[in-house]
Amino acid sequence: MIELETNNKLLEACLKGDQKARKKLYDLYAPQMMSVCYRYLKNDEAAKEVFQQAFFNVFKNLKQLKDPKTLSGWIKQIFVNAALTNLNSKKRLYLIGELSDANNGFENQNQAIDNLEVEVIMNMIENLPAGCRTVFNMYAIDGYSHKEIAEHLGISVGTSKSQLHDARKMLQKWIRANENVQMKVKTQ
Amino acid sequence: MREEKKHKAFDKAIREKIGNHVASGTEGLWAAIEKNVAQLDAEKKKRRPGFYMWLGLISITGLIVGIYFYQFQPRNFIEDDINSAQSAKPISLYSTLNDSKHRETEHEMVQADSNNKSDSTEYENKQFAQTNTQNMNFSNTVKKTDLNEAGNNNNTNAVGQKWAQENETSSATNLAENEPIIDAIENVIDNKKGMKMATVKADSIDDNSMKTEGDDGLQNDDIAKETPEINDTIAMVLEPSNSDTLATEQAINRLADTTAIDIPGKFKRIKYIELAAQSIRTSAFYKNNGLATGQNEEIELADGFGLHAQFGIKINKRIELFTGLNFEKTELEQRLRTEVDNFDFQTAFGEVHIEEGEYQDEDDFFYVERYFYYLEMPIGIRYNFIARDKWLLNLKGDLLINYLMNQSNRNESYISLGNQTTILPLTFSFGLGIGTQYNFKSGFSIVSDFRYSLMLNSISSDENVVIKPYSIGVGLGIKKYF
Repeated sequence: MIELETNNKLLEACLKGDQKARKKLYDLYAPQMMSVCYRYLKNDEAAKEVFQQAFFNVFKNLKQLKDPKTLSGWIKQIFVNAALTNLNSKKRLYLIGELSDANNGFENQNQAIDNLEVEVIMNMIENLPAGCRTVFNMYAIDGYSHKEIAEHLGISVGTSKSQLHDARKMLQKWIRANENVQMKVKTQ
Repeated sequence: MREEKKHKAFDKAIREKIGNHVASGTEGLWAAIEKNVAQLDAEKKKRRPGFYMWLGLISITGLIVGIYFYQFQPRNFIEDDINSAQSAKPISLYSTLNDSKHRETEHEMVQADSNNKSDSTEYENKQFAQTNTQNMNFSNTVKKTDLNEAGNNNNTNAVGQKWAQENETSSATNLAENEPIIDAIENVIDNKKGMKMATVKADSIDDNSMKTEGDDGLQNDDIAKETPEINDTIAMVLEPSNSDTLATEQAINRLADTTAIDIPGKFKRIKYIELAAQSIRTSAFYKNNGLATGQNEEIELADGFGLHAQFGIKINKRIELFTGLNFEKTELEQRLRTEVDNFDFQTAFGEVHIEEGEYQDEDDFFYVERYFYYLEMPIGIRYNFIARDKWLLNLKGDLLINYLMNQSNRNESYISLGNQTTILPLTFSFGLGIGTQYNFKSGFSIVSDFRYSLMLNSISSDENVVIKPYSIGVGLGIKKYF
């Protein structure tokens, strides 16, 4: 409730053009949104560019936010959209070829993920091919359905599913490899 | 199923791990954002004058159209020219009533005029010209040659001769005095022949100044139509061998464009134009002082109609701002009654004169029908208090600037009485209404409304007379969203 009231007051002040309120809103959401940018965009410079553009869009379209309760999700949506726009204006999305199922059987994956540093996982996601990374981010992290992804990206639902499948495989492969390296380091 | 669970567990583990991840490096980026936002604020402030410039342009267009109509008055212009030349004299009902009874030829009328009036003054001479002209106009046999002849009659017919004999002024001088009137008549007839109807075309709203960021104006249907094309293009782009990035960029741009816009249903487009016709009933509140003793007058409800061309913008799903041009023909029916022997009617609109014996008894009523042709410019707001996907119910209010393009006054025998000189050319009014609209096709709606409007200032320039017409109207039209 307190957060909602704070949001309301903050939004009202931002809409009136109060620069201090804008800065406060920025400080509140900037770190989290920068993470979103890094997740979708491998390139550091591109991430910062998108971050600035998206935050500008937030202030520009703030009056169109209907429900202050959805502020966080609304801002995130703007960042995701801005990231996708940038991603595809400079670097094409592409599908990786069909991966073999040799990596199946990774039974202790959750344990392995827990053992990983957040930055390492972020780095893995950033290193996915753009198409896989985009679909994985949208589906697994940001909660879009395949239908929504297909509509937003203009691809078929099947394509979205296959991209997700490939992204998982690659991540599992890298996580497993990372686990092996860690085990080797420990044994040495 | 097991595989699916495994995938979900994997996704969840990743999501929980990085879901609340925050990244550093944002500290130095605020300055640029702040600068851009400040520029945006400045641009918004600059846009406002653009809006007022647009309104100004509409006003000027309305004024030009109004002047055009005023200059080329479609009816009653012949006697108006003459009346303007003798505006010091009251309008006479005598000759026109006489016309309706006898329908005599112009020469007979001249003779009657000559016999009835013993003093042939200059005023009478002009009155004669008026009588001729009114008679010709009523009988719908006005020809340029006839009018020339009528003008020449001032010198050759009985009245002209009598006038020449009883006055020292020569007939040549008389002709010279009447030449401007004859010229005016000829000019007006020439103008009438060349008169064309004007079509007013509404300017579109400036896209740059009005468009809301993020709303590309497309409806769902439109997007759906384009989707197969996008699907194909994106599928191609997603192929590793294809290096074309344009289609993907377009698709993603669409995604970005949908951000933060939520104007639901079929009415989400932000600009519109509306054309409507309105049937109106008019009357007037009036308060007048100094009327002739025993005179009685009333203004009764009378019919009229309006044509409205309006255009506006949608601020959000509930509020619309609009302006445009309305043409309205308003009729006021004025009932005059005499109780004593007083034949100069000081009506709320000015003097009306009749001759003794022109009414049957002391309770006799004379009706004067007054038509006012207005060009109006509304500036209004409409609030959709019920906004469904297919239909809306709204309240609207507007202020109007009214320009009197033309007026026509006639008695119950359809005899024109010429113009009243006390009617103000520019007035202001307000309107209140309730309306509904139904979307029957993508972008198109049927609109209907019930409206009440009232003049805010008196339409009479006479300080002693306050007369404020009001009207109720029912309208039906069509609206197109862009």
